[in-house]
Amino acid sequence: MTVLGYYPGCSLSGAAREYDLSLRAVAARLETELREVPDWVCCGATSAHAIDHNAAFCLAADTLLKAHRAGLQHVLAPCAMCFSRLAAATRELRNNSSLARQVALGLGDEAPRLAQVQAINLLTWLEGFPAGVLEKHVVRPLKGLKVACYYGCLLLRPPRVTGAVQVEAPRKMEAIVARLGAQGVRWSMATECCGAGFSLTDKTVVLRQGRRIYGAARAAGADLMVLACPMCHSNLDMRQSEFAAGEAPLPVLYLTQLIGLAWGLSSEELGVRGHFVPVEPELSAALARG
Amino acid sequence: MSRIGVFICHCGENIGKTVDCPAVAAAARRMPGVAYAADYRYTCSEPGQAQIRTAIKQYGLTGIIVGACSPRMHERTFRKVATAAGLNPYLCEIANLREQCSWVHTDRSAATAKAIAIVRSAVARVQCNTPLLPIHVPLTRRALVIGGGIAGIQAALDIADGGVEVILLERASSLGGHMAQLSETFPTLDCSQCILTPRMVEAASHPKIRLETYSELERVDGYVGNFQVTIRRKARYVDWSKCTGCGTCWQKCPQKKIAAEFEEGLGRRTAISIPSPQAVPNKPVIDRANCLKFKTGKCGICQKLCPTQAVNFEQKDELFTEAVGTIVVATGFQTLGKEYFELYAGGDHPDVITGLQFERLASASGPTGGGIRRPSDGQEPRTVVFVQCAGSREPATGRAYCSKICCMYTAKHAMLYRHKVHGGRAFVLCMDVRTPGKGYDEFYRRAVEQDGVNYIRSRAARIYPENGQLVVEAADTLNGGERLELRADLVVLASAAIPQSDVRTLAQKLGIGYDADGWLSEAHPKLRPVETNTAGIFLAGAVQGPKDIPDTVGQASAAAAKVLGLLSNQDLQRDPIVARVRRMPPPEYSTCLGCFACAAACPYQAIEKEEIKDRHGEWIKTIARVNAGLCQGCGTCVSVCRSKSIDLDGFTDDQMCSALEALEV
Repeated sequence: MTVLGYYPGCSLSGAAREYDLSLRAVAARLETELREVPDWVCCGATSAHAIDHNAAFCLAADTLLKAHRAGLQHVLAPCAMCFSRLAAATRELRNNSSLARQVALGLGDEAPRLAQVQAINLLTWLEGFPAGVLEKHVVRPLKGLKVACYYGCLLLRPPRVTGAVQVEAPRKMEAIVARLGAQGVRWSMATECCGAGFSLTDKTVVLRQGRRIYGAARAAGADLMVLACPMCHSNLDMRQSEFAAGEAPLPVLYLTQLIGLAWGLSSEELGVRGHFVPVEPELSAALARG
Repeated sequence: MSRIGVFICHCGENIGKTVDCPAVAAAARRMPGVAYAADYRYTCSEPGQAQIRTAIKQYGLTGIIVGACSPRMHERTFRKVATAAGLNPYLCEIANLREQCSWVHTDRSAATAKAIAIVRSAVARVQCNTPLLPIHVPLTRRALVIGGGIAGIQAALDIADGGVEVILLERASSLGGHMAQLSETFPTLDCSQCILTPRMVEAASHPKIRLETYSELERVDGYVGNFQVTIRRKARYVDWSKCTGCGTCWQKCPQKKIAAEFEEGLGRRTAISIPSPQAVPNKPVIDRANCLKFKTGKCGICQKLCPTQAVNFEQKDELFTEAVGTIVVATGFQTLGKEYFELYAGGDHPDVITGLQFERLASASGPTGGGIRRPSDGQEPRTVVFVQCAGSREPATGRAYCSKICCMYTAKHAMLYRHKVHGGRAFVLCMDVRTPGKGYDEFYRRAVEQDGVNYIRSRAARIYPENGQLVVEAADTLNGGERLELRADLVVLASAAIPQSDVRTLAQKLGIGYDADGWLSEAHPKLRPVETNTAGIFLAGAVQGPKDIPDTVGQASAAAAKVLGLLSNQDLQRDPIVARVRRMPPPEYSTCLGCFACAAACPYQAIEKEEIKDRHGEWIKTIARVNAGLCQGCGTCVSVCRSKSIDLDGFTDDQMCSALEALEV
């Protein structure tokens, strides 16, 4: 059993519970123990980083410090925004000694060591499994399934924080779905913003972006969409009935859910039934077509 | 007893304002060995020089010091003055009272004291100077031009017309380079082939030019005037001495689907082929990687059908060495391929093309016969978006420089498109439009005002395919950043000009410099734009930085003038500031131990081995010897020599120690 630090953040313990469920189910099959960072706090993605730069880093640093004390070197942050904040904090603390000092003042004297803890996202974690490991669990091959892999903003960007090489036309998620037998389609909106920043202030932006993303995935012939960000998911799943009213539904799954479905895990285990756009009928129909 | 003359220059106010020049002259007059000292407002002026000449003769001076600006500025000037008055030029030394004194100090009395110390040091030094004579190096009156594009062709023709034999080296099978691929040329819209092919033929038929195409530079030895270059003539698998260029082979070759490099992948060629119908020489080569005979052992149709039995599958690469006196490097540039631009429809969409591909579409000899057609379906595009600065002026992605040629060729492309496709819409997305050059801005205005090309100040953020078209996302930055979505049938990227991928290897073979981007370095950005820092090697064309055709031809002719100037000498005279291994009479011969630490340290490979033998030819010892033709006088060998057996003429230990002691610090 490998031990990996786990930072669920607010979403995975709330609105994106199915992401948490499916991730735990997949991790168990991959013999990975997700050890939650004890007493973790908000990552600072919401109000903090817009209002007080240093406070935002202090929040992330507090979690990193707790991870360090718990002996965790890598922390999996499945939410793209949490990942971005934690990774940015690590980088900032490494490169900005005056910030590191300030944070040290706020948190005790251990700040210099915070930079040793590295946040990783879902793709980095899954990529790390050698060929054959993801494949061997497949009991329901997704052959013929066309998947639009949606990265959104923060999973790969900015590259200096995420370390990603291919940022504009990424193929990482496509490589993972290919290991399940599915085919990642080539499409134009994979790194487009879902509009989450405006979800409370100007819904028209969110709907316009959702429409563009939905339209592009459909045009590329996708049967469903996978992603790895709770904000993107709620915008593209929950609001789909608004921006694509009366059109063919496009199920939106977390990558871990699609992996679980290919591995034959039950809908309950994966939380698939909680979606606004029903998954199973579309998936079965697509596999029958394929 | 030395009779030294000291001349203190005020340099207007440059020195005079901070240093009390008459006081320095007065102090110099009292220094041992000084026979004459004076100060003057501008010593480099003709009256100032006359003062030196007169004093040398009148006082029988045995050495002079000029206290003035940096020796980099006027050492040569004052040494000429010394020569004119009959004094060996190396008995003249400069005391730098400007850059190293007046310009960097404000306290007049302290600066004056320092100036006196500098002069005292120079006086002590010059008393140890010995007359030196220029070194004569023999010269091979022959030139090598590397690269057979317009730069190399022009340089070769100019050198050959000057009566000097030229070897023109080109790695492709034909001359022509990028210019042969172009359709029309700005700002006159004359056909590129029409003006280039006569030059190609002229170069090939010139009695003084020896063409070596399909050949590459293997290695370079020697030095200015005496280079030994080794050339690899790549196996063509066709005996060009027998081939008549009849074309039977490339018409009958069954491998017809190979993407043609000359057509930038838009056209097809055979495995045995010439790059274009205008190729010079008009003789084919076999592309081994795609030839069925080499791949499977079967076929050989070209060999069977060749009327002169020229095809020879057994041919091998040949290496040969030539002696040349100078080298012109004219290997040109390349452009970023579209695969670099992930943001632009993934970098592999057939209807996103580069500027060079558009040239082939617009060319009458191109794959579409000059018709503007989309590569994907052969349809005539109704809307074309041209994206300028694709990959250029982007420090974040590694290229901060402007590619220089794109503004003009994009205006040309948009113009050609509007001429060929009536009613077609042309949009140019540009950061700004740069048109310095004769007739250039008029040309751009013509594109806008007469040919109705729409310029939008913008950068293309992203391009993606949708419903058979390409959506170009951009922002109109002159209109408050208004978001634009242009629907185009064809997108043309003005992709950045970049150095040839292997130019660094070439530069290392030649021992010349290149900058951080990979462009070869000129000796001085303004005053020595065609020379390199290695004597005898010159630059022409885009290998030194992005350039259009007129600039390239101008620089090529300039390089040719430099070659002819150099080769017009009977032999080469070099500054005698070279290292020398000390020699003594027998039985010691030299204190050199033969450890050759100097050879390992020498950056110019100037240290040779010399065997000392007695009169019967019996070996006594092996010592180091400096090749004066290669030595650049850097002095590295002097500092590493553990037995102090090497000295640098003009900077001997005696000179340097005397100068230091006289500083009294």
